[in-house]
Amino acid sequence: VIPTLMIVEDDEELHELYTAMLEPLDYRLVRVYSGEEALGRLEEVEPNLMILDILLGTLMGDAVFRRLRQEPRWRDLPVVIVSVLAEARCRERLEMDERAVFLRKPFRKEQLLAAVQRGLTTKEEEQGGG
Amino acid sequence: MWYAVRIGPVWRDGEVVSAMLIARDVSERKRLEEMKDNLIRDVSHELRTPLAKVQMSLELLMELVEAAEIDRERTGRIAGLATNNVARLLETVEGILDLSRLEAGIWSYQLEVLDLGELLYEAYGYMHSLAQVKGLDLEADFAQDLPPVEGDREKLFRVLVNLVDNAIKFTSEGSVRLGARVRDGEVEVAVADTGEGISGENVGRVFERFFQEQVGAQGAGIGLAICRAIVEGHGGRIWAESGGRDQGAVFRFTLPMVEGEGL
Repeated sequence: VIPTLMIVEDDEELHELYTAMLEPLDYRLVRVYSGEEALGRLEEVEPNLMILDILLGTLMGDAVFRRLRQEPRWRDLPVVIVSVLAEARCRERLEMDERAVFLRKPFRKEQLLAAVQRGLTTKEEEQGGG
Repeated sequence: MWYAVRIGPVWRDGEVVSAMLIARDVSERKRLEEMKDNLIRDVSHELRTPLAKVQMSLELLMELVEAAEIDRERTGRIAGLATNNVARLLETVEGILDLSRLEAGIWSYQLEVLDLGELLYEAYGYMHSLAQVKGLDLEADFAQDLPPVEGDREKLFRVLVNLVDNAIKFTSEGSVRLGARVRDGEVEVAVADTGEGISGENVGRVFERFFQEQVGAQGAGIGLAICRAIVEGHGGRIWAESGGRDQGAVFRFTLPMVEGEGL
């Protein structure tokens, strides 16, 4: 099964870069431009992982993350949290759990691929372990 | 106002006879510290984002170039992205430097008596094709007999171009109208658009450096802050009006008329 990645980012140019970095790999990529759109399209997209920018327009990434964690269906969704903020500040704001991976902007392609891989593996391991 | 206060004893013949309080006005120092903090904040947001994109684009470009078969379309898009962001960076850096020069009074004004109508037409001609590319109508709507004003041609032209450019940037359909009239002994120039508009609480804040209506949204950058510095440097006022989000916006500024004119 090809994993589906939902990329939540309001900057079109960054979407372009995400696509260039991730497309050569075997992922289905879904571009989403706001926090509202991300929450609204979860059922339809059924992502295996979400790449979530923190600085979004009206509904910030941290609010999206908190909402995900309140929903039984999406509580375990691996999330790669992307921010220009330092990791410590992000962790304070977000109460990040073991299924959340932090990635600071700017990042290198290898760092993004490693973060995505780590997120997907965590989930697989848990499912594998029953 | 900010004061730094020091209190110490006053000694006479080995005894404390009174206390001395020295209060120093440190408002200027505080202001400079705030400016420094703001600059660091601006640099981290406005310069780091495009720099990050340039870095990521170049890394990808290297990979694309090294690939056995070059994907020309993708290579072109990523190269374009890097180039645009370098241009944006340069513009922001130039803007920060220009605003600093204006605020520090390093840039002097080359004043001359100007035909404002002529300057408005120049700005109109300069920006017309940009509006056209975006499918917008750029309209010129001002009287032929505007009184002359005293000003720095180059800097006032920059104000007009910045305001029109800003209007085009935040308008996806409709028009941008450039107008001018005489009002209460001043000349008032207006740039009106049918664009995104500004919410009530932010109307007064759009001239702040790098102000953004929403966190993470595209901001007006430094252009409007430069406009304000130039207009105020001419003894004029600048302000924005808007009925709210999606209601369009009007940016107005005034210039004093040359003495003896229009009386």
